[in-house]
Amino acid sequence: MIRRKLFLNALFICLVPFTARAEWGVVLGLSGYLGSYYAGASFLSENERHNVDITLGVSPGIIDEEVYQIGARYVYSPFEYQFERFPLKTNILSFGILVTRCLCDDTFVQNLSIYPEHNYYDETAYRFGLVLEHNLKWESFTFFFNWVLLDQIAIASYNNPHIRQRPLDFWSAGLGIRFYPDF
Amino acid sequence: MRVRLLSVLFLMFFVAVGCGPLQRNSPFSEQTISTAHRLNSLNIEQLLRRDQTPQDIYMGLLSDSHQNYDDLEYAIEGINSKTHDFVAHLGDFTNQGYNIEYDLFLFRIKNLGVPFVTVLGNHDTLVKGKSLYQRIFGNFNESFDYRGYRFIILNNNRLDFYSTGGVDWTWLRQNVQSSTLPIVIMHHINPDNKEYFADEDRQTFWNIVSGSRTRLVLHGHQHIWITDYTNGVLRHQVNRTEGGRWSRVLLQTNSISIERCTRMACSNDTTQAFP
Repeated sequence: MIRRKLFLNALFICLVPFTARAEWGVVLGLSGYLGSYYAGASFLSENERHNVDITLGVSPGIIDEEVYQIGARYVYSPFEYQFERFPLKTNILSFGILVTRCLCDDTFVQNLSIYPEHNYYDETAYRFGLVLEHNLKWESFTFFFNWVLLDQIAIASYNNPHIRQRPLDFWSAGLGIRFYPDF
Repeated sequence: MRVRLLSVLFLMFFVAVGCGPLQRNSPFSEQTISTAHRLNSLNIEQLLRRDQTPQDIYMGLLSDSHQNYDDLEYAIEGINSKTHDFVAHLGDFTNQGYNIEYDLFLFRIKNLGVPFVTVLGNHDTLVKGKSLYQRIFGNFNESFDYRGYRFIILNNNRLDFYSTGGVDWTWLRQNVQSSTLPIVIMHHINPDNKEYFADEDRQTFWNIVSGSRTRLVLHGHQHIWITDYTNGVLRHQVNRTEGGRWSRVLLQTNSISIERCTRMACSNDTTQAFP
């Protein structure tokens, strides 16, 4: 049931760019819970308010092998500002959501068969996040910084008022660039 | 003008504070902000540098803190308010084995005023949890002699190590049989757990432990306090830390006393005398 819902959500996010006359481009980035390094396809809606990134990320291993993950991130940018003297636009604060899935073996999704019950554990291969983004657009390029809060840590911080006093312990910052050649 | 100023401020904010949390690359990776390395080994070395003459040993016990970080802080405050030789966390200090959970646990457990050791819990093994545990805390199985007792840390997460052979009974047998000292065994899963252990595993454990010098078996996993005598051995299951709960054990040459504690208040649970 949960998998079906996840699939439908992911499908919806993936189809958003095709419902409008979207610009197609690429995205490269660091961190933000999508991997140490990630790359992927990026879509920008015609009115430049909706953006979807589909990514493949990698994080180097220390003891174990590197870990790969796929991700989808949707960002809504309602507050665009056009600079007067420069060909620049900025979104002071955009916000959105992301979903990511680990392409690794030691997760409950992969190993459920060895546990006594199908739902013995949560499906740890999937994580969701809330995204805050600030971006700067120059012609075909969009430079962005973002902050991501994982769903699981959001719940923990709700239940533990003390950890909210140290947000840098659990927010992930990321940065990256999007390029739309036909923009 | 105002928007431009705000924009610059936001940019500066993201750049300034983005440098540290950029390390949080992925929830699934081995990367942590904490640089802690082989803490169990370092803390055991610290214990071994003390006078080893047999004498009273006070242990603080935590278990199954999961994401109850505030409750863990309360329990640590309680432990710090009393005298202890060392503290053992009996596993499940994370919910899903993510690097960020290891960090959040480490940021709190370092507030203990005494050395501590951790046992690997089933939840701590997930995703890259095994690699994280090895890097941060050290070996899955560990043993050390301290002030007249042998302490054994056993990884008994059989299902989570199913593909690599489950529990290392040979290692446990060697460490139990080679001891001339009374033994305290610490692991995470309750040994009578029928979901986790096949009949032969449960039998193997008690075959090794019963009739040996083992005086106390400590574990967590089921989140409630239980103390009983199983196959002639005193067994204590530690409550989860919710509400600031923890246990306190006094090991003496001829007896073991166990207390149940909530924050700073403790009450007697059991006292077992040995001939």
